[in-house]
Amino acid sequence: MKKEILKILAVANIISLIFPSTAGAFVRVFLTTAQGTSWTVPSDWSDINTIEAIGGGGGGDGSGNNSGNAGAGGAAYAAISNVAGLSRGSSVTVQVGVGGVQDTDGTDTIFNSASTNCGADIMLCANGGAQGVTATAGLAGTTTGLFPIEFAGGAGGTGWTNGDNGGGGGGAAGPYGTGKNGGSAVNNSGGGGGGGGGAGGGLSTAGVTAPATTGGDGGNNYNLMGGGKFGSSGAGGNATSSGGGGGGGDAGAAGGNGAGGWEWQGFATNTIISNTAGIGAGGGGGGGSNTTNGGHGGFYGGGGGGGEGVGGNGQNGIIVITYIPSVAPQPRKIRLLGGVRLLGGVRLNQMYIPNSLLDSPIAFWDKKRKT
Amino acid sequence: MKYFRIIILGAGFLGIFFYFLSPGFSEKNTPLSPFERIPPAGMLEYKSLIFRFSLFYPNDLKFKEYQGGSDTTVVFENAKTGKGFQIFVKPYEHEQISLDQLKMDLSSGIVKDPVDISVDGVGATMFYSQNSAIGDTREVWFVKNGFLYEVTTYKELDAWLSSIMQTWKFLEF
Repeated sequence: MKKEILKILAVANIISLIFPSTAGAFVRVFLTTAQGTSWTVPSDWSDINTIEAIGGGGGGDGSGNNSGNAGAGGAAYAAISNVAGLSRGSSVTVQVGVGGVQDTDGTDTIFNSASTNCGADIMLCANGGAQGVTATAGLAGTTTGLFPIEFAGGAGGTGWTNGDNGGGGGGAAGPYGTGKNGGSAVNNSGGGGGGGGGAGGGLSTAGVTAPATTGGDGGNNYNLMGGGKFGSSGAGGNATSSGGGGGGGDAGAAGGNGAGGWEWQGFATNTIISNTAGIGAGGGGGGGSNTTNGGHGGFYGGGGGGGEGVGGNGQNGIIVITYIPSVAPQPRKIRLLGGVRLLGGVRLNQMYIPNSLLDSPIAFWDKKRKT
Repeated sequence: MKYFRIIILGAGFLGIFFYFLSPGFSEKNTPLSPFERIPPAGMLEYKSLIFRFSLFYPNDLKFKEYQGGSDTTVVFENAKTGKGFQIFVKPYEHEQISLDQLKMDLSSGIVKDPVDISVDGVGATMFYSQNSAIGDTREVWFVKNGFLYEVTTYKELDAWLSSIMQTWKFLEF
């Protein structure tokens, strides 16, 4: 008898491995350049999943005196869902886009292919942003038309032709939408660099073109927050909230850095101010003023600002894998923190309480089925 | 009068001309992807690709994602005003909500004044219930794309939740 029970339990166990139930909480995996070029499909992987990618941001131009020094393009974003056919324990080849240093394009981010550039027959890829080339703005990472959700990055801002002030870097695209363009520099002796573009979508804004006497403000993030303040006789401000663009510098001062994004952070804090912190689409770096450096783009995928000193770095890309693992279902929990007090003091009033759980609900759900 | 008309017409043509030439014109007229939304004033967007929905919420709320052993709950809340709502979501293989599911997630068993409504074109049921922790609740439950969504707020915030639910959009991709 005991043997039979053990046999039944063993069969049940095998069946549960073959046909795992999926329920609820998601698992999120971040693949950055630090993770190398392969990813092992986890043992609890399921076909309810999304895979997202941001390419590497371009590097700002730093061609030197009277060369224009344009900002670089921000990277593109792409996403797919419910990918089937990835076997648990198998190895998937990936390439996480590398942000360009000065005068270098950002590279593409690619999932499940040995290719190094975006193209057909790749499971997922997102283009990197292009470098700024003298005064010519770096092109944004573009969409490919191959994937169901795609957004382009923001283009860099132009540098002042044959001049000293640099353009801002473009913001990266992210899950909320397109990255915004960097601001341009439009003046030589006076004025400063353009602001970096805000990161992807929503209410995000472009970096401001530098007016005649100062740098331009950085663009805001998709919550309309966080653009760095322009420099007025000084350095452009770093972005103040995640995904904001850096401000443009003025009077021989550097552009500010774009901020790291936070879309995948899980908290609406909006306060991550480092360009290397946060997990989301990064803002563009601000353009530098005469002789100085462009600001760096924010993680992930922000374009670098142009600068007569050194062009700002574009930031690396990222792959974000989200899936719902196989675990047993659990009852709902109420997590509203203020729940211990009832707003307005309203108490139970004329509430129908059934005699048993099987009373009202059955009648109700039967009614639903009939209709 | 004739000159007045000419001036008005001229101003109109000039307005149209400069509008089309303005730097922001291309951006203003670039159609947004169906997956990119601009929230109205005072609202922000929350988007979940894995659970395939997007909504706009008041910008004085902060959201937090909780993950239990088998559930994901997104809570939108303003700690000062006490206003808030939560979305509980999980994969669900049935087309309709079963009694077992109801028993599992509604410990009180109370379903009062159920009403059939539509959430972005999907049939949903709105009802009042009660929870031992927060008292009277307003509930909106629906199934779509293999997921069960249970949206909960305080009973008093019924109309407020309704205005938020009108911004709900399923993401089909």
